[in-house]
Amino acid sequence: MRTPTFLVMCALILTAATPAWAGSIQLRTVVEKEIETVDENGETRVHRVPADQVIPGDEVIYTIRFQNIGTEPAGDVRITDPIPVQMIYKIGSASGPDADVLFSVDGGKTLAPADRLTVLDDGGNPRPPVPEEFTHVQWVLKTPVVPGGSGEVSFRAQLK
Amino acid sequence: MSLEECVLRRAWYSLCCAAALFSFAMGAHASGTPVCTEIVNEATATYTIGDTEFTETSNSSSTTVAQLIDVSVVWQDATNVTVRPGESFRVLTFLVTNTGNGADSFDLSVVNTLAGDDFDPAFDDLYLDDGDGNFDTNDDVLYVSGSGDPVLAPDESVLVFVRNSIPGDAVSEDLGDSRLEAASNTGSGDPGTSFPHPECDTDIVVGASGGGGGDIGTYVVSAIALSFVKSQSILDPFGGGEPVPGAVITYTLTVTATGSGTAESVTVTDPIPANTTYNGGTLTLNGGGLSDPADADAGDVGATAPGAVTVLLGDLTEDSPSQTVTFAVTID
Repeated sequence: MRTPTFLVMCALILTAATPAWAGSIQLRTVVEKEIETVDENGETRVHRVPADQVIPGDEVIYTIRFQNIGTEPAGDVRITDPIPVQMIYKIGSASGPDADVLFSVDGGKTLAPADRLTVLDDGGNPRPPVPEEFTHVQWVLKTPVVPGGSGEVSFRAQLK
Repeated sequence: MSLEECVLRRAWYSLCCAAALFSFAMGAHASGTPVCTEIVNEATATYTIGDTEFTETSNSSSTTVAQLIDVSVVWQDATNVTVRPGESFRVLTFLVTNTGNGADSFDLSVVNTLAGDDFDPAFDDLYLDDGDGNFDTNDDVLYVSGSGDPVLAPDESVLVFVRNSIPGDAVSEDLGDSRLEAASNTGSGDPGTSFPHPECDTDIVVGASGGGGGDIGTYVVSAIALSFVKSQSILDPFGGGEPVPGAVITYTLTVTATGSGTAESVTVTDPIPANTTYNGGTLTLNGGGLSDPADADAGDVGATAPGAVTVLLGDLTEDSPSQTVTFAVTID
């Protein structure tokens, strides 16, 4: 008797998630890491594989793929990703096509370019943040995403 | 570790890791995220279509923290430990640290048959410190392999005292090495080797140490000898040299070191003879007065050792000048 109930629940969720007037940007995030392998010719190759598991010191790549599945262009697109607390943002690694990259060091309350971020030191004076203090990355796309258009943004972080 | 080093090391190990899912960062981060931690991430997008603002959330990506096995062993004595031929139970101190990110226990062993030294110490026993940092057979725990293996949380350390005997035929300035080894009971192997974790859906990965580590401590033989020479002069109340009641006896002790090495923390203790009374304020070291109470200077009368004068001479070598202690008593 579980199957019918499950189907009904799925139908409800689908209905709630995609009402007729819903937005059109679909997001998909993956976490990967790079491994090196040596092929039969002795050449070292770097591959990205899903980071199902990591060990302290590992560097991972968070990638967010976006696509406009609607029929209207989507403007003012901002994609925000929290940096997991166990991870240290790798300075300079946030990238994305045709986007301004902003950061937060206060849990996402305020966002600014990396060179304008400050935190208060023990004496209450502003200082530049250290990588461990970055909490969020935000990409502000400079152009609308047209119907069918897609792209991806990413950043790298290291497991504490 | 710099990124460059990291890349180089990764390249070095890439042959053995070609088939493994893991890259590894050689335990560069001692205080690692605990094993089995699940790290979930969700991105959000805001945008407008026409004048309407929308918010969309992504799926959740997830990664689980695997267990890294690593251990470090570091010899703690500041310099080679000075010993004499034939001595037993001489202590070398090591610090064993779990540099992995999961609790682990470690099997300890001592290797004394090492190349490159002059003699092989003979292993006596191993003790685990009780936490006060000082070796004490009453408080510290005699190590028993297996049941007594130290269990260490991530980043936790334990001081290990290794005791060895010195062969009787060792000669001055000979060096003897002793190596303490710690091996993870969780696993060992080539760095990057992995096997399933029993408690969560992740792996256990052998770190840079290969799951075991060790360090060498060194003894140096010192054959230094100390000579004590004691002399006395008597001045009786009548200006003569007779040992009669009321006569003052001045004792002179001379300490000289000969041979190689260092005699550490040399202390002279000399009892005040029976039927005499110490004359207050007469204690001297190398001509300088020492006060009678126990205080900052090198000597005291009756405080360190009841009924005796005690003078701390410190470390002496053959190059040290002879040390002269004097004090006076009156015959009762």
